[in-house]
Amino acid sequence: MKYLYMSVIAPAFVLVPVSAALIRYRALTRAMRVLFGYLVLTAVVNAVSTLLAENGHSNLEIFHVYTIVESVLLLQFFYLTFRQRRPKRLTRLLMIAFPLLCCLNFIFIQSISGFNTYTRPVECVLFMALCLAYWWQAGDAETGGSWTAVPVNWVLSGLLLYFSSAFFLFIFTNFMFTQYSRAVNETIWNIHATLVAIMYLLFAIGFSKCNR
Amino acid sequence: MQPLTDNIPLLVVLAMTGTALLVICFILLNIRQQNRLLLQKRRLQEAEIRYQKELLHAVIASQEQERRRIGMDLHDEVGSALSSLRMILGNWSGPGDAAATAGLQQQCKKIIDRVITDVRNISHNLSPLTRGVYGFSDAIEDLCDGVNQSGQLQVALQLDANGALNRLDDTAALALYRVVAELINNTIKHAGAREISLSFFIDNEQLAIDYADDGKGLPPAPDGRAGGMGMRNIESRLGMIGAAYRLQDQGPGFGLQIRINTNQPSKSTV
Repeated sequence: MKYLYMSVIAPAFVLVPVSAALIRYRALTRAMRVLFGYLVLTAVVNAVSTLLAENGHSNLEIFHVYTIVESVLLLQFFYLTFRQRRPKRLTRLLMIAFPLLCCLNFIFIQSISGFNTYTRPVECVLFMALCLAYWWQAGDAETGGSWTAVPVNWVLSGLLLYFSSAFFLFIFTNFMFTQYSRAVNETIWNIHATLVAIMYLLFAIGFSKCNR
Repeated sequence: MQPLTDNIPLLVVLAMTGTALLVICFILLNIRQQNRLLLQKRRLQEAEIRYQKELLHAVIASQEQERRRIGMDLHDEVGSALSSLRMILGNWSGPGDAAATAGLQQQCKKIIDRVITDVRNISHNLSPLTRGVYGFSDAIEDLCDGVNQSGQLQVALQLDANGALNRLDDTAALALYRVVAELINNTIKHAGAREISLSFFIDNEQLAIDYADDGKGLPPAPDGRAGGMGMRNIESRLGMIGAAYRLQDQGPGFGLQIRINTNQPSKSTV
């Protein structure tokens, strides 16, 4: 099998948070249940795109749609996590505006058979900002327990680490696909796969911290 | 223009690594900050609980002390008077000489009068009259007169807030009476003072009480809070009626300023 690490081993890490979420399902908040849904969807999309790649088909079209669904689910997670009205309203607005931007991008701006290097970095910036906004408002609010005991902190750490680190990769993806060898690209996407695996592990810790 | 020779994939990897490190640093700093805040909050809570326990201990100890004092008063004064009355009556052999009977009657009356006075004093100490015709101002005046008559030290009393003093409810009046009595007691016991100045006046529509003596003052407390059991008691009573107070932190002697809103009912019973 080609690209064993990036297309099988690293995506398989999604089973860790999915298992943790299933074990603690009754204790999950609504936000954490949305995150669980996002992980299940990710697992399915990864499996489909690996199968497509193995059979010699392009899977880049899937990622255009995946970006939309991923952003909507994660925005719903943030909507349920935020306590204040203003950021809640902002996430609602983004749930409409960002998918619209993605559609405009693949219809009028970037080819659907290429990587969405405009909307993916925008998505990264969006989630980086939302993670920081949550911690900002959590700092203002009275926090009762330790940082490590709060499940959302682990989830946001995973999201922030992944989206901020992958930001530059997403910007240069099309450039590197056209300018550099397959081996170079594979190396960089292996790093990306490692970041994804780390994010899943942090999600798993978050799920394990959920208590009734 | 020079051709681009930079290795873009390497730069992308470097950018990814750098960003990841920045994010990790941010998260670690966030954890550290939050844990520090949590620790600080816990310490404050522990200090508050410890302080509340000390206050409770002071209240219980002062109650015990008061009971001991009442017990001693009853035993030494009322008890001994009744014992001597019993002894006198025991020695009386019956009606005989009219002069002897009149003497005995006189002696018994004296002892009974002393018992009445003692019981009145004890009950007055237990529950000073701070309402009605004999109000709070009179009770304070009596207290100060008692100290002045002892000759140990002089209390200069200034009462310029009779309206506000009359508006005090029973709880607040009794608490303030006890606070003033405790302050005077502290001055007598520990300060080595010659003079006490006690004034009641209105300050910003609030009842103000300024107490000061020319004694040696309070020793500095390490936590900035009032020191001995007496002061804890005062603090507890003032806290219960929602009065604000400030200890004099400069100059010789001891000073305490109390401010209480007389238009609001007090919080609790004393």
